[in-house]
Amino acid sequence: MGNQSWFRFDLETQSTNHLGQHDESISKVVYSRATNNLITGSFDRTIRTWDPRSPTPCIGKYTLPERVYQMATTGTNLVVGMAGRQFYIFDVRKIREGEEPMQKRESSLKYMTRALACMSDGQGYATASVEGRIAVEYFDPSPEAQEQKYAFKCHRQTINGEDHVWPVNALAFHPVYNTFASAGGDGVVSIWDHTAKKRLRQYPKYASGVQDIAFNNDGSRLAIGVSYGWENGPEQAAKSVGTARVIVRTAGDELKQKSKP
Amino acid sequence: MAKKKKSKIVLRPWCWYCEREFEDEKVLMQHQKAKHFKCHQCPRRLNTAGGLAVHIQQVHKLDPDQLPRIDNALPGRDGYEVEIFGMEGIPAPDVADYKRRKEQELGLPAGSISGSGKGLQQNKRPRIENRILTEEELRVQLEAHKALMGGSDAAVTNGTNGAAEATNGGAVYNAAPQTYVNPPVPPPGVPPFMPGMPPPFPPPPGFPGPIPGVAPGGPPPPFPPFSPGGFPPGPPPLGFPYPPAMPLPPGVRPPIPPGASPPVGAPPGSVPPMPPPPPQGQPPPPQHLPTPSFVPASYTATSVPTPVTPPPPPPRPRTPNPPQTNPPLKAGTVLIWSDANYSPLEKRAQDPKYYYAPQATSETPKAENAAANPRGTKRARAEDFL
Repeated sequence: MGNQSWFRFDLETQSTNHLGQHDESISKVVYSRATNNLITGSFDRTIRTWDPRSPTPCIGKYTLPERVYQMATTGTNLVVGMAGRQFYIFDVRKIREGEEPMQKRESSLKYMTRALACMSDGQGYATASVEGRIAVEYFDPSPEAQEQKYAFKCHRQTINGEDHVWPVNALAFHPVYNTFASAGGDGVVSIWDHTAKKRLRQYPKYASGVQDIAFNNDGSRLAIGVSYGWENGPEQAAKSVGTARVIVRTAGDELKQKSKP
Repeated sequence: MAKKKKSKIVLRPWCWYCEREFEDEKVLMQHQKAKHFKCHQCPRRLNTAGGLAVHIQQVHKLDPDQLPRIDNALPGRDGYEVEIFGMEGIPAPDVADYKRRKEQELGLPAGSISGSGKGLQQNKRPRIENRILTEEELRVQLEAHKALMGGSDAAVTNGTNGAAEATNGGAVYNAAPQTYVNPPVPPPGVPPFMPGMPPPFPPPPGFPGPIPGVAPGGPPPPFPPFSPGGFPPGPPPLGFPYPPAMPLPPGVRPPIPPGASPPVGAPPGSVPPMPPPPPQGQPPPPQHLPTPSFVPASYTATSVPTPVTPPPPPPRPRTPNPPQTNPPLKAGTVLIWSDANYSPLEKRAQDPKYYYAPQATSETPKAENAAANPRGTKRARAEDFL
C-alpha cells in the first residue's frame, strides 16, 4: 500500500521493470484471463488496463466517481467496488474513457464495501461490508435473477451481552466447487455454500484478524493471511507485533456443495 | 519373514498378533484389518479387536462367550482382552520381550534398540527455530544490518568522493567538513552561500571545539586558528579526522591568504574562483567522521539534532461525495470499524509509520531546493548513510 508505481517481476530473469504509475496509491490489481491483461484500481479514482508486453503498457483508463476499494473479475466481467458503496460492472474489453460501464449499482449492503469476489461460474459475485454482512448478487439484470440476490450476517460474536460486529476482510470463491470462503476481522474463516445458503465449515479462530484469503488454482489449498487490520489504530498495532503470519491449509471435500439426498 | 535392513537400531512396526514386521504403521494397520480383524460372517473388516467383538455381538447376535478367536494369531495372543491398534496398545512386557529377542537375533548388545522408529526419527529432525521475533530482536537485527550496509556504503562513497575531489581540485574540500561541522540551521542573517563570497571556512572535523559559542549562532570565523599552516596538498583523505594537535606540514603549501581559498594549483595571488558547491549528483560526504575520541561533545551536540524536516503531514484522503454516514445500529451492537468514509487501509496509510510520500518524478524541484539551501538537502541525504 502506499505506492503509486507498480512493477513487473520476471520470475525467470529475476528482474523487475517499472510498468506504470497511478496518481495515488494503487489499491487493487487483478489479472483478466479473458483479455490476458492486468487491471489496476487506485485511490486516484481510476482503473487502468495494462499489457506488460506492449511498449506503452497502459492501454486503457477509466475515471470513476470514487476511490477504488475492490475489484474482481470473472469471464469478461469486471466488478469494481468503490467508496460510497458504489459498484460498476465493466466489460473488460471495453475499459476506456467515454465508454459507459455495463451496469452501475449501489451496494445492497448499508455499510462500506470491504470485500468482493466473483463466482467461479461467472454468474455473479459476493460482496461484504465492514458490518459483518455478505451479499450475493447476480450479473443478469433480469428481475427474476435480481430477485435471487440476498444478504446474510456473519463474523459476529456476543461478548458481555453486546453483539460485536467485525468487518469481513476478504472473500474467495473455490475454483471448482464454487463455494466461497469469507475472512473476518474476528480471526475466523468460514466456508459458505451460496446456492444452498448454508455454512459448510468454520475454521477455528486465529490469533489476529484474517486480512486476506485465496485458493490456489485447483482449489486444493487455501492460503490465509493473518494480521492486525488497523481497526483500533496505531496503539493496537504496537501490541499486535508478531501476530502476522500466513497459513496454508489443505482444502478438502468439506468445501464441496452438499448434494441433497 | 522380512529380515531387518541395515537400519539396525530402529525397530520397524510389528504386529503383536503374529510378530510380523512392516515397512510402516499404515501397512501394519492394513495387515491387521485383513488378517486379524476380519469378520467371518460378512465381508466387514474392523480396525480393532474390540471393534470386531462389538460387531459380531451386535450385527450377528452372537454371545460374548461364543466369539471366535482372533485369526492367524500366535497362541496366547488370540484374545479380545488387549486392544491393539497398529503399534498402540501392545503390553509393555511384550514390547520388552520382543526387543530382547530382536537384539539377540541381530547380535546386538542389550539395550541398543532404543524404541520404535517413530520416536527416534522425531529426535533426529533438525531443530529449526521457527518462532516469531520480538520487536526488540527485530530492531537489533535491523541495526546490525544497517551498520553492515552503511559501512559498505560509506566506503563506496568515500572512494567516489575522493575521485571527484581529484578532478575538482581542493575547492570541494571545503564543503566536506562544512556539511557536518556547521550548525544545521544557517545563522539568521548570514546567507549560507552568496555568489562571489567564499564559503565560511569551518574548522576541520577533528579540531577540538575552539569556538563553542560561535559555531551554532554567530558567523563562523574566516579561518580556524591553525589554518595558516595550510593543508596537505593533493586530494586530502576525506573523512579522515585530523588529530586535534596534528602538526601540519609547514611549507608544503603556501599559507592561504585570509579571505581567499585558493584551489589547488592556482597561483598564489590570483583571484580565487568561487569554490563550486559540490555537484548535486555527488554523493554526500561520508558520515563516519565524528568518532567520539576525536570530536568534542559540543560538536556532537550540535550535529545530533539534525533538522530532520518532518515529512509533510499526509494529505487526508478524499471524502466520498456525498459523505457517508452509517445507518443506526441495533441497540447492543458494537461495530468494530465505524468510520463510514475511510477504509482501515486508508487510515493505516495515513499513519507516519506507513505513510509513503510520493516521490517527485522529475529532478527539477529537487535541484531548485538544493540551490536554495544546499546544507539542508545534503544534510537530509547524508542521513541515509547513518
